[in-house]
Amino acid sequence: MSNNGIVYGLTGESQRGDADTAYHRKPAPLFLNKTKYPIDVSGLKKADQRTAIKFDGEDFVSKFTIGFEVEKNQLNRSAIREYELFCGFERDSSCGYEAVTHVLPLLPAGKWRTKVFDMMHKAEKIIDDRFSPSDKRCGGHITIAVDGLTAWDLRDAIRGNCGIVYALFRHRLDNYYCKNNNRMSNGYPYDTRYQITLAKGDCLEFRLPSRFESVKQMMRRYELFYELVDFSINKPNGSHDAFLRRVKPIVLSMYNGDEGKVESILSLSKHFRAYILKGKMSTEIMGYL
Amino acid sequence: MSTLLAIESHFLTTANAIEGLKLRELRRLVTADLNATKKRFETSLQLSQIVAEGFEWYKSTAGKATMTNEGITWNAEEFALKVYGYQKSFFYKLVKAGAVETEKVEEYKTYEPNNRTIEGLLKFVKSGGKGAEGEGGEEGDGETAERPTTVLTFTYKTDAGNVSVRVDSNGGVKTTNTNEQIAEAIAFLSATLINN
Repeated sequence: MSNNGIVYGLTGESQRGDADTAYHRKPAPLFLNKTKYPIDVSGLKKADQRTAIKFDGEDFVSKFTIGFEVEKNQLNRSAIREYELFCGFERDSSCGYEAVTHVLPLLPAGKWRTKVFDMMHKAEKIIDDRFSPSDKRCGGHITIAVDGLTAWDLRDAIRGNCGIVYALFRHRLDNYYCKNNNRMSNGYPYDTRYQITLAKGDCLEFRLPSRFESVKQMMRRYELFYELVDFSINKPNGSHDAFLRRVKPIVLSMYNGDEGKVESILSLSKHFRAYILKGKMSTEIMGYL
Repeated sequence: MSTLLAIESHFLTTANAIEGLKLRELRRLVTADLNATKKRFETSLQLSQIVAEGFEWYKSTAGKATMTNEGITWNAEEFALKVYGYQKSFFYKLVKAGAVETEKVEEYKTYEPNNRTIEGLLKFVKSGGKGAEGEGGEEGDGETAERPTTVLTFTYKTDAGNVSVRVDSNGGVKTTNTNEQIAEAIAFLSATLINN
């Protein structure tokens, strides 16, 4: 299969297709951020090959990774089986069920990313609300990691650009399960897991994002988090305006091309940025925090 | 045809892709009767127009936005293979043929009444309407010049760079090296053969 590069397949482990697994008992995720095949990375721009991929002597490894938690009230019964995308399912007391992805490579656009999106597409009956419904009790936690950085380093590196995440998910900023440490501080004095971003060793969990309702929504969030991590890590001195220009096409796609809505989101993200970095609370964001 | 991912197969069934890539017309032409040579050329010509227009759509803002929205990233080579099942070189020939003006096509048909091909058309256009043999070609003979085959290749690696020679079946010699360099390479080969 070297002509087509890596093929993501099923493990055949029955537990990965069992939706009645107890909370915190789901099977361990696989690290899918490696490929042996140069063809998977050959189409990337030279700069992206340098910044997003490393070669460990045997495999091409993505330096950034991402994982998603898909919370649902119900799972479509005919769709419960193992998926290439998910490490497994488990019961969730606050919502019903939770499907958790393997550790996925977080990549720029290209052949390899299309394969990641293909896994999402094939898991549509779990992700999409038309088949597996969710409500506002459900969340869409997103966990990211960067090779060589701790979660605290990563939080420090990205916090200046996280205003866009706040703006997109502003209605969850006062949610009990994620409202704490809303300036993304590494010196937050209280021991609670219910923070906007929870540092877990090498991984940083964003608890703020809302539930997943469709595959396209998951793809857009993937793209957004790639830009967030890539820009923050590889352009640490880049301006916030430059970052917003990079993510604007993604936000436009999220809002079906509604320019007015997008402008207001981008404007809000600047206000949230000022709050995160300086604690400056403007009237525009006061109602959300 | 290249193996398609599920997401790619799905994309090719979406209304935007069907319209933008003219997939219905494409399928009709691909399954058309290709037995007669003349008919085959006409069909290929129509196909080339569809492919050229599809490629324009692929490069357009609307096409790019549609593909991004569906989570598809293809470079031109993948696009050619996944949508049409063509390798890059033939795909680009079709794209070029699709852009040839009708007037030129008619000229080619007059020039080449029987054995019409997309390659022939492109050669005809490239030669400025004088046929595949260019300036020296005989008009209207219906024959395309046969490309000479390579009968000998020879490469000799030295510290000062490679010495390379290629000889074709017409006796043509292709090299960028001097006669002295080539003689030196041949001397090395002879000496090696004698010593073995």
